[in-house]
Amino acid sequence: MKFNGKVILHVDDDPDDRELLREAMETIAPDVNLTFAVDGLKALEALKLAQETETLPCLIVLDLNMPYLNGIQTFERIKADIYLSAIPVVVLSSGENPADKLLFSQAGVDYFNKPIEYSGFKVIASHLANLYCR
Amino acid sequence: MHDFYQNNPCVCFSSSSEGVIIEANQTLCKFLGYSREELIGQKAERIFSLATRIFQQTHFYPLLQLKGHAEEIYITLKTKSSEDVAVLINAVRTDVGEGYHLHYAGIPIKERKKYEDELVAAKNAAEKALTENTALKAAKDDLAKQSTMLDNQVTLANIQNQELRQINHLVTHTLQEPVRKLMYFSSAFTENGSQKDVLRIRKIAEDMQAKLKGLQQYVWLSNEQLTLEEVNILELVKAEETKIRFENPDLDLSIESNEIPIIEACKAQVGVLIREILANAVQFRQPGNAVQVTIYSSIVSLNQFRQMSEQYKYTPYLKLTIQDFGIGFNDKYQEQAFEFFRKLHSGEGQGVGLSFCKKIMENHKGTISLESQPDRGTNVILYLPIKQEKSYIHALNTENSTQ
Repeated sequence: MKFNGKVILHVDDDPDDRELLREAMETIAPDVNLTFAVDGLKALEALKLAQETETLPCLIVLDLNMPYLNGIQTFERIKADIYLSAIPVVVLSSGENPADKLLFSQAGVDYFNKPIEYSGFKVIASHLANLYCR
Repeated sequence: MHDFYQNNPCVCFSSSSEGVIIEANQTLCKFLGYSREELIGQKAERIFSLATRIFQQTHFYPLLQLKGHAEEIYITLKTKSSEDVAVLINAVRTDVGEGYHLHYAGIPIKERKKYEDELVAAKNAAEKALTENTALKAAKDDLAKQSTMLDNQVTLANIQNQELRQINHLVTHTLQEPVRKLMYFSSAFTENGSQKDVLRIRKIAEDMQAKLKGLQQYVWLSNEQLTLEEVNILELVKAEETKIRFENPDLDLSIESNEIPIIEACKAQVGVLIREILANAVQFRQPGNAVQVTIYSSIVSLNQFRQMSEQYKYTPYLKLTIQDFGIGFNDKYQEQAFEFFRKLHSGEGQGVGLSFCKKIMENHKGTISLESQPDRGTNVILYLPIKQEKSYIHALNTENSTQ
């Protein structure tokens, strides 16, 4: 139990991708508590609740193309909130827009492309757990 | 009495039957610039202008001979300096022995003449202004026509811009996603040969097919030439209601509506519009089987101009509010609800229904908007022209035929 139930919030509207990351995380780091939200608005609601119960995640994994609040809008809101701004964020998206990549790189945010190879999600899960949940 | 005669504000003089001036008052003398002595004993013609002399011979004398008096005769007298001055004159004849005297009293009407001239000038100016105004009105009508055309072109150009942005998103994201997943799951299947991955691949292919079908229908809505006819929306609602009941026998469906005015529209497209709105009411109902829809209609006046500010032309529109009591959503994000393939709720469907509706409304120069709150239900508000604007339909059909 090297990750000791640390919480990661995965924000993605695509149920397939949520399931694939969950499967990969269960294989790589089963003691990471991977929770999810289906869009940016729901993510902010979940974070507010977590703040009240003092169960804030150690990492937020953000998709970009989502309904209601997209990834960039969600990121801006998180960074504007003094209680949430310290939580690290990484982007996990299939988007290839160089402007988005530059924006997150300038903000010091890791940007992962959603994988096209079977091993891809496991590599990402391992990276997230080892880098952010220790 | 003598003094009164001499200083009477009217010009007065008398002539004998021989036409010789036998008396003239001071007012006349002053008016014409003669002394009394210069006038007495002179022929009266001397103080008449040429026109008055002719008139006197042909009309004035005969009248006085016949009736013994003449009133309000307009003549011109000649001053010593040969200037013509207008006078309105009354005259009477008195018999004296064998002969007669003619007595004249007149009012100089120099000012009145001036006013008359001014009136004529004003009339001419008014006529000229009217002619110019007609030309101005024609120019204004032409400008209004051009403005309408321009407004329609800008409206259509804006719609196309929006569509291009959506196509961009479609190509860069919506259609890329299933391809990425197909690559991922085929890679997973090669790795571990799981049946689960085959099912996932199948599901993604089906999803992709549904998306392409949606796209096909959207292209149809974008390219079709609009055929207009009288459309009874209530009939379309009833037909759709029957269809929904047949396909969902367990559904507790109630659709209430007052009479809906007949409008000019493309029947096939308005049919799709009603189908999609009712399908949403069914799909996004509160948990359970009850679906309650109420339709309100009214006629309102709306400005035909969409893009140009300070241009107004009000025409009658049908306002249709289709209310459901379903799960609703936060209508702050309603722009997204009309985006192609955008789903604001998870579940069945491709997220194309409302973009069809928007396209159909744009084809008819109508508008669609939503009022909604989570758990309170949704009002779909439609404004459709009662009669279609010919220049808009022409611009739309021309554009569609060139695509």
